[in-house]
Amino acid sequence: MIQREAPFRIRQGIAALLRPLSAFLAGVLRPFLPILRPLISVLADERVRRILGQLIFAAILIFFFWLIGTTAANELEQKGLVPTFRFLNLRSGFEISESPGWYSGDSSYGRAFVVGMINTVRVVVLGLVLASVLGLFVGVFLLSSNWLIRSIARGYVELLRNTPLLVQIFVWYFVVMFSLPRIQDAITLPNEGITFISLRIVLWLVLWLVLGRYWRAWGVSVERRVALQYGFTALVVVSELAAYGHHEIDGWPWAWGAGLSGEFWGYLFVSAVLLALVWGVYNVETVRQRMAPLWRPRLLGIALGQLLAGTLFSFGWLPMAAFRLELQPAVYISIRGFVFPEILPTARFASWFAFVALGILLAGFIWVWLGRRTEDTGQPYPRGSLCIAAVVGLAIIGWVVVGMADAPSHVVVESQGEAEIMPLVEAKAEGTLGTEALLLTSTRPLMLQLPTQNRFGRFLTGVEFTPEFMALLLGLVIYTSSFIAEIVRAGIQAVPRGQIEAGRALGLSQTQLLTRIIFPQALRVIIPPLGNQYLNLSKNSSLAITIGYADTFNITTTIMNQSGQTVTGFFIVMVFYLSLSLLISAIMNAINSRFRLVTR
Amino acid sequence: MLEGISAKADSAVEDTLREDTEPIIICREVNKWFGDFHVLRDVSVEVAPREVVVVIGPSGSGKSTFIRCINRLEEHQEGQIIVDGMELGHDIRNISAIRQEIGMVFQQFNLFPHLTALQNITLAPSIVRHRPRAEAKEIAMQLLERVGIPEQANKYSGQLSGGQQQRVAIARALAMEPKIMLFDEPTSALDPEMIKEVLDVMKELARSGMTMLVVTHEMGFAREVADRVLFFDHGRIVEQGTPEYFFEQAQHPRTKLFLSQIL
Repeated sequence: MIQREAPFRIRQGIAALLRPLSAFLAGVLRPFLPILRPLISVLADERVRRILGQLIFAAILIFFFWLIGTTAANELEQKGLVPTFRFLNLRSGFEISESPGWYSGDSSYGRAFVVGMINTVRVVVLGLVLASVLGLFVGVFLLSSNWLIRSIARGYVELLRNTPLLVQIFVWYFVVMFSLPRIQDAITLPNEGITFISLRIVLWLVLWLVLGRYWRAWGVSVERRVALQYGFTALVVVSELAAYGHHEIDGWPWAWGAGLSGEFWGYLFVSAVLLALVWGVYNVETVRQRMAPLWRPRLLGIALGQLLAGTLFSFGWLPMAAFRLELQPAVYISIRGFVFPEILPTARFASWFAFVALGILLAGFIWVWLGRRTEDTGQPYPRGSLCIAAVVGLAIIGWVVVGMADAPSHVVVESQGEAEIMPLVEAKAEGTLGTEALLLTSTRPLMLQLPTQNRFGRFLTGVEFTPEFMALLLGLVIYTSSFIAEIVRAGIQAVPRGQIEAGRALGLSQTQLLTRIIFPQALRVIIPPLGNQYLNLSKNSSLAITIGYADTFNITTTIMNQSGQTVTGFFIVMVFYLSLSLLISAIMNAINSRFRLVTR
Repeated sequence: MLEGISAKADSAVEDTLREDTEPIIICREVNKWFGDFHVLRDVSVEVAPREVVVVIGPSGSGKSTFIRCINRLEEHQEGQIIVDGMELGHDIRNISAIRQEIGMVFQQFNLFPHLTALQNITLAPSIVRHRPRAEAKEIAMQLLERVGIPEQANKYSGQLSGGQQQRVAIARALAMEPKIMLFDEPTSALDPEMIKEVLDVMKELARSGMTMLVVTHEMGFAREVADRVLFFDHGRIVEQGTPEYFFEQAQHPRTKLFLSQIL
């Protein structure tokens, strides 16, 4: 009881002590009341208070920072660590694994900072582009009507956004990158299997587009469309299996009998079972009479598609060997990193580019002119296709025209320190020409430089990406893409159903609905949170330090350790990230204001 | 199915016209389910050109679903719907052709918020009907004049009142020069003052000879404008007839109960 009353008594005691003080103050101030009164009424003004409050707050803040600043400066001065920028000119003395040619251990600290910034910008820019593309696709897949695609996309998003980024980067680096083969056994692309499949995929895609074109143009009914889709898919799957099986084990995997005829009867049997299912399921559906009976065309398509593929293959009408092509490896993947081919502009690039520029100009003209025509007559024109045709057409013409001039007949070749004039053909045959000489003598405007190794496995040509860079890039891209996917999904779902219904009721096609109604409205929801994700990605890139990628922060810590200039070091890092973030926000805000809705 | 239709006194000419022409909408034994819920049960209706049909009924009775089936915003599972001689099935050519013939006005207006009133109206005529821009604009301005708000042409839907939005929505549907107009509770989301301005536009439209199907709770409108009233309950047409018949001499107990509650 006594303890519970204690605070009360203390409060009373304080009040008792203050009472005479306030009485004294009141007595002292009483004569000044006429002067004070107008002042009090000014202070009671809401507007005055607002400004005064802010002034007082600013004053306190400035005083506080001044206090911290002077104290810190004094402390640092006593320890002999005055923050300056003079050390930036000193020799850095350390090598950076990923640096351009102009940097070495003899370069200055300032240059080391620049290398770090270049490396950060490299990973951030590439990361932003890849994460956006990947996120867009996964986001659309999240809304797919196909259960399997939707579930896989959902699993991808949930797994990736619910585990820490650092863990993911470590997995990419220590698990994935470290399990890659040694440089001698590097995985090369395209390898035989991949060439084999990818070339056929082009064929399938072309067929698919032709099919799509056909039923769009003639307005085939849903049943036939479904039958065609499923039939085509069955054709592709069975042909692929057949081709792969043929390639791998030299025989059809499910061959029952020996020889072609046996296989053919096998296909016929499978088709008969599928067709029986078609009618069986169709009848069940008809009895229930609830759902649109699309099972029939689906199964019908599958049955016919696989029968067609099987027949073609059985009788040897699909010569798979025709699709095989020997290619030089263009990409090397090993524990030392990823090496990609380079596309280099040759001496003739400028004149070729003039043609391309002309094509772009022409395309711009076509775009504006046809736009006006559409406004005047209402008739739609294939604007986009014509513009692409203009650019591609002129690029091809340019390629041919530029290539018409002969290559120089002789080149200067250096052998054993002596320059020697040699016929070009001979020099090429001997393989003694360096990249520069090849670029000078090539008749083509662009040259594809495939990666080449020396005897020790070091790459002389090609673009190299270290495992650190790849692990960081993959980690950032895949982690961020899961968030972007959710943003895209939310943005599309945020468009009210009524909008889609209104568009449909006006007779807009599915494409028109997407481009004219859904996207413009989804974008305004997507852009602000997308900007946040871009900022996150750019700042998360500083996790590079944990796997040893030479980004800004990583290099700065090394510099700070060597020079002791921590304050300046952190200052530079912060200013760099701040400017990067502000640049990204500025761009996103500019885009955002274009899509903002007008209300009131 | 045409029994119970009696033309109003002033439209004797129309009456003879109607006898000559085929029905523009034919529904035969239409059935629809949402999962296990049977929304429409054997709905059979024929609508003649220039006829104004008002659909009423308690909420959940399937009246909105019914008119949404006519331009295939909802898919019916059984029976036939034939609009202007084209059957609504899975054939996408028919669906888009039919949608171009049918204008629809929604309860929530559904104007496109990223476009101005004028752009809302010109969008479909220019990209679906391929009208020159100048022509589409001119038609749009005429329509805005007709619904009484030409001065709001360059405002966005967020800057318009509910009644103005709904009038722009009507103009937008009319811009496609439809043969039929569907109204899905067009005044239910409006303030009482704004209901009148929208109903006035609809009355003018009915007088001009547009074929209209209107789902509404505005009994005054039904009495004044309708050629025929359909009463829906539990997915079925319980009773139908001229407004005079329907409001005075309805026979079915369910209709009587409904009318006693709202009148």
